[in-house]
Amino acid sequence: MTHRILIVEDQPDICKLIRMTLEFGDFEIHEANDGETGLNMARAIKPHVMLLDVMMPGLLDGYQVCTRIKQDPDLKQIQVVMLTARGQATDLAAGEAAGADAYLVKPFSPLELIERVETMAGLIA
Amino acid sequence: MNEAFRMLFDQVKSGVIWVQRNGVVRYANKAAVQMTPVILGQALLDPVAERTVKAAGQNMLKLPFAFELTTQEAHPDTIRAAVINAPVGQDLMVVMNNVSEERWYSQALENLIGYVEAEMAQPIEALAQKLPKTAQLVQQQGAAGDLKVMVQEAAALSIKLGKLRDLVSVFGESALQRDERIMLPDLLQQAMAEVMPQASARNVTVVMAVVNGELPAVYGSSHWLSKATSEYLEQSIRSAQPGGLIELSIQSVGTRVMVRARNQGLFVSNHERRNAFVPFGVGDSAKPGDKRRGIGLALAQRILEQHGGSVRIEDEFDSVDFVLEIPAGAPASQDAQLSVEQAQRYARDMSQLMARSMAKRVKLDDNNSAPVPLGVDKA
Repeated sequence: MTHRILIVEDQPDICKLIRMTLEFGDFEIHEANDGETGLNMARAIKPHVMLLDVMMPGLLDGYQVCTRIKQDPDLKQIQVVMLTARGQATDLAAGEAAGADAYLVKPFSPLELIERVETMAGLIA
Repeated sequence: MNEAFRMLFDQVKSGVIWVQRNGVVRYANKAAVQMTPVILGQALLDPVAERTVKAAGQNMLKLPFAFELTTQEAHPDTIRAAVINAPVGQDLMVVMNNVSEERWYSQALENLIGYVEAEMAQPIEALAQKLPKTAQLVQQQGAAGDLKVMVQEAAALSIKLGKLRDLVSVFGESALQRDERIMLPDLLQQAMAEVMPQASARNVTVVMAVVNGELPAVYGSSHWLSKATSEYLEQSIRSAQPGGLIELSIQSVGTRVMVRARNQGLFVSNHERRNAFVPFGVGDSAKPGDKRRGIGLALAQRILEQHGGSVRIEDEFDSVDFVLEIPAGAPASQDAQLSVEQAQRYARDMSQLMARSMAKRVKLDDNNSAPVPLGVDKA
């Protein structure tokens, strides 16, 4: 079974690098470049794992998208990995409060990313 | 040239010279004479201007034609000039502006910014930090009234100097940090607490409307946005009539978050609205006796601009709104440095990613080509 991954990231370069990394695995990859589109796509495609940037332009940032996903009974099983350039304790705490399942600080190791995604998607148990 | 034109050109700040197509001067205003030597009835004395006008008169140049002159001084100024068609007849006009003079003002402003940054920022900060302790000492030792007043005056001066330092900082070279997550209602509550003494002193009531629903977060410098919000509130309190009411509200409009401070029953003229944002309150017609608005709104506006937002004054029928607006979410900018670092990490891990992928494929192939027990169809 191919697992669906949704990347929500506003920086095209970073989004491309994540896609290139995940293409080393067996995933069905979807992309959104802001929080609202990301939330709508999550409702439509029900991804197994969502890679969610924290700082994005627009009405919903990563924390707000994550909170909404985890509060929605239809979506809360989605595994959410927050991606951020800020790795301070307060930021990690905010991610935890929003219900994020994991947190990766940019620039992150692509190897770590793919292993984390595979684990979360249940490919390597 | 008729008298109306003469009166008009005598009023303008730019230098204006009216010439015949053969280059003979018919009129020059006062500003023009200060920029280049001119004798009525003769060709322009500056060789560059003379050649350019003659060429234009012979239809060799496409008008308007811009060129540069220098004043005939030991340290010449640069004059930006243009030859255009005269408003009537076949004549030409040369319009001139002293660029060096404009540069002088912008240079002076840059120098002021540099001076405050280099010479004053640190002493102002040091003074501001020492003042509370000095005030305590004065109280403890039961100092004479004069000393108490002096400390109070020093504290007031320190606040004003601090604002000047802040204004210089936001106009200076240093970029503001822009990645802190900020919820505007929290920021506004904090700013309200800060400006409450001013509101009480003017007997102005400030009420905040209940926020409906979840507001988007904004990203920026918490330190500077907090200052901008306080300055903005302080300005709306200062503008309110004594005993007046200010209604504060926050809402998200499209992709922006908007804070509105509504002063009921207040009117602001266009002139006041324009001058409110000029630092130090010196507008086009500021007179020595005029009430100066300080640097608060200019500071708030500059900070908001650096966050992609704005501060403005809106005039309704029976009220005046001080509006602070900021984009929701993070600034839509590409962090090139981060992209480069992420690409470097990708390049570093790529061989391992490939090896990992290869190993998986081999494992998969091995599984597919494993010996099949007799009597079992592989398919």
